[in-house]
Amino acid sequence: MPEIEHARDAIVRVTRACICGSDLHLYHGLVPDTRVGQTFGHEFVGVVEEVGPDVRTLKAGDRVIVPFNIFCGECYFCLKQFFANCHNVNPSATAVGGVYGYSHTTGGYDGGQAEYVRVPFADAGPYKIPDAVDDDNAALCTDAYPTGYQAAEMADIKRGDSVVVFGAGPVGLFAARCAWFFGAGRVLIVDQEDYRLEFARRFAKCETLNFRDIADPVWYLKKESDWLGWDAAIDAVGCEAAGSALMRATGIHPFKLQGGSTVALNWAIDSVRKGGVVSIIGVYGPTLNLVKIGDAMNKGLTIRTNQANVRRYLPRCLEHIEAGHIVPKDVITHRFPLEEIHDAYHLFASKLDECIKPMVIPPRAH
Amino acid sequence: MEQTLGASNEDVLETPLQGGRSLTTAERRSLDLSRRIPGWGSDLEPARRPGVPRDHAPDIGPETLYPPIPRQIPRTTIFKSTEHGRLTPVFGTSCPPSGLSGRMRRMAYHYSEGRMLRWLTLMAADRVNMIEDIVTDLAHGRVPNIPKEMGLRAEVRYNPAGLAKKVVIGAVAVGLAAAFLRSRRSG
Repeated sequence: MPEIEHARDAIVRVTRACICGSDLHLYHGLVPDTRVGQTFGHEFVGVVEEVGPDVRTLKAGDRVIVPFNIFCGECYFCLKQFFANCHNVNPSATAVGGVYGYSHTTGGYDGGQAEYVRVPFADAGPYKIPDAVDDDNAALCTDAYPTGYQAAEMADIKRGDSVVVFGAGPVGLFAARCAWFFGAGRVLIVDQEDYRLEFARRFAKCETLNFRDIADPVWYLKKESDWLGWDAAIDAVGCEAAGSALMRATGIHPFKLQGGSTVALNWAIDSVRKGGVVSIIGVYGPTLNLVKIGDAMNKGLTIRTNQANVRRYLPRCLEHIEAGHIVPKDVITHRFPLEEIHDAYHLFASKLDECIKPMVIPPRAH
Repeated sequence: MEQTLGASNEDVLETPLQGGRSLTTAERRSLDLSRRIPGWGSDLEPARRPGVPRDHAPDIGPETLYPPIPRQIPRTTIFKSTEHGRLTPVFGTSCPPSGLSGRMRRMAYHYSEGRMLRWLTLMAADRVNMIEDIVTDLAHGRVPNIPKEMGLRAEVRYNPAGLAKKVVIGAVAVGLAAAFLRSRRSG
């Protein structure tokens, strides 16, 4: 059982937690300063069990969405609403903010794939769950759904824009679905798993492309856009991108000389039109990367990036749920008891049983 | 020479509007898909977008970097980036550094985040930490159940054919290695 370590902490009893695609980067040893014994998990909701003496807005018994970012709400970056970049929660690095259960590179906090979690700055991050929103939908609001929403927003979509999304994992699916909210005229999602593309057609109502079916995805995407290029491209893959043996060898296994494989990002840069926007929401490691920055410069691209500032997007994302525009929990394909989380990780990492998103449920959830 | 496309792509791609895959100028300007796609265009106006304007406080200065927040008391070793002006008021206390991996981490944190050496040392320390943990388990008489921890049950349940294939390949590889060693010894 975690303890209150700061007057602004709360302890939350977890009722639902998800495994994120970026948890797999930890699982695969790609994030520096991942220590044996740390509890993973940054997508969780729960019930407030206890609050520190300086907590004003929460009380025991409140149902809360806990955004994956830990942030103070008062510093230079939080005042700008860049909550993912808070300067007061991660002593180990300035290049990244604080995240639950995501190595010491993001602050050394234990995560939410657990029964209880210490939640710092309880007045800043946690958001009370509206009565109309159930725990399963709320759990997707801690990261994957607002992250996908922000990815689409960063693409600066205008009426009728064409948007290509790389990666049909949960974040890519949400990015594709949310691109329509911004008025996109055409949305296409790229992946290598047919079952995910089939799911994308139903969930995100978009076109699909399996890049394994063609020799050159960039050529195909250019042809599909009548040789103009796409108005916006979203990289929702990040550092474990497939599609190039060289990239995987130098960025994932056996060598870790760059901060992951940049195949999807380079395809995004090459398939977007001149003057277009590349929105990067996929996660990469802190070391150097082989990125086609020359093409980006010569094409006059706008590259927009950040970890999701979840708290900033939550109210609008919840409005979309309540309006019936989206049902985030539709992406949950598997549910495991917390005690079987190692099976959930293996299932998700190996894409067994057509897994899209696994959820874990602690024994004290009910 | 034009590239050929796999049949499945031609099959699965629907044409969103008649007359071509890209929208024409006129089609873009009059586009309304709200009947077909729930929520289409609901955040078309910048005022509906939570990220607009991107910067909610464009004119503030660096004195706001470290607001007067009560400080958490460090009870374990907390490594601080050299790029921080001071220890952050709040931090995680999971898994304090220890052993050889802890010493490697301490060394790594002497370097700034711009140095490759810092990150590669931390990743090396992670691997040393893994070995330390297995050794510690064995020293305490605990044998880690690595197949279980790596999700063997999920493999059995959801991928029995793949698991059988891996077992056969592994057995053949071990058999070949044993035969090779035996032949060298007898030679």
